Amino acid sequence: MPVDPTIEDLILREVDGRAFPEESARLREIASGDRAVGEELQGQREIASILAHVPRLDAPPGLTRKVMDALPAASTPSGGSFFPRGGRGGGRTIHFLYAAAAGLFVGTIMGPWLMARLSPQTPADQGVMVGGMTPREPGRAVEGSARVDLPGAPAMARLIRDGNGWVVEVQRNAEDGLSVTVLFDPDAFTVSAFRPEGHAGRLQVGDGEASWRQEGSQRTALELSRIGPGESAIRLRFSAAGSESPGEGALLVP
Amino acid sequence: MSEAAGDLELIDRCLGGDRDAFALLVERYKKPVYNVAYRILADAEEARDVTQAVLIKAWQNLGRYDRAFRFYSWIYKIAINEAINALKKTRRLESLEEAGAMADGTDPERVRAQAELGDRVQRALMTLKAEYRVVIVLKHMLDCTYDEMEWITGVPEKTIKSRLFTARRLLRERLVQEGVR
Repeated sequence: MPVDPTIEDLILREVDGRAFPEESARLREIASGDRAVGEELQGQREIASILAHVPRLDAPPGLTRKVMDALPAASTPSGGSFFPRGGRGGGRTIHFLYAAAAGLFVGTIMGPWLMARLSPQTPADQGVMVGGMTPREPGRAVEGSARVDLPGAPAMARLIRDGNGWVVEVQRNAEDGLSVTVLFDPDAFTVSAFRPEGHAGRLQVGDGEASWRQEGSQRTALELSRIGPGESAIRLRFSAAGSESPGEGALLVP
Repeated sequence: MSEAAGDLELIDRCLGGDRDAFALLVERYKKPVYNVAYRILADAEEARDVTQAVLIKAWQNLGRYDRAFRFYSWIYKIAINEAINALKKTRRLESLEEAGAMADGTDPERVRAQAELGDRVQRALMTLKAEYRVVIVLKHMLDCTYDEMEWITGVPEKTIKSRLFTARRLLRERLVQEGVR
């Protein structure tokens, strides 16, 4: 039986573990009054659980050797230049050399400048590192994500486990800028690093709050260290340039 | 050093012609790529060939890799495309209605419970259309996020979610028919 698309989305969020507490409560209420929704929710949960237990297969033995033997002799990787070709939306693609130059600029010029600008209420005295973006790969597990609808394009946030810390990564694929505020329990977390991909506005850190402004399609990461028990929810508040109404979301640290 | 930094460093070395660096990338990614191929194709030999083709293609096109994206997203995108192309060659894009027959050759007593679950899920997966198989594999085997799935498949996130919802529902129906709960 077809399920209302809004409820379908709610069920997906719930099964993915991305629903906010109020959304979970609403879904429970709907499911208790609508048997079809209740059965759909249960079914989606069951299949997600089954799939989580499906074993990952090992690659056939000797595959690495076969691949290496099959590489064209005396060749080097090619496919053109280092420069990206297309990608999803021209604004999203970061020119590698541009990024490298920007990284160098940030590291050598903007970094000290940013650090110098970090006033007493900003990260300087708190030992917050400001530096280039650290790319993510499989070793850094994504533990949660949030999508916040804003005029023009949504803002995306991810929670990534990174060593002993947590990284809140923010990106919005739009031309206009984005103001970001991350709210957290100051007894539970402290800001330990700020890693914009390129130039970002000054990071402001207050009691349980960090905020900055970033440019369109820029990816920025805020690193939080756990310093004690406390509230695990990290609240996000995003405002697109020219928009009066901010969007809000949350990430839950496991 | 994070794995990410390791990837980028290895890629730089590859671009300088260092094959040993590429062997390390192959070691790192052959398993997830093989799983993508096998879960979509349900044929170990074809999956091995596709995995090999994906990794060779990765080497040949490494210069086109866009660092704005994660390397694993890029290589999974190649893997999905190669697996789908392999399906097209054998016209198996649609569901395999006869997939249930694959159960006949399986001796349940000689496989462990988890492997048996994997077999049953695989048989049920093969009864789904390829577009449904792909979203299940990306979400549940590779733990991709929706925006990564959007980038890898080129399909809008809204459609991805709708497909995933339907795919899970269909998969569950098939598994219930097989007695898996």
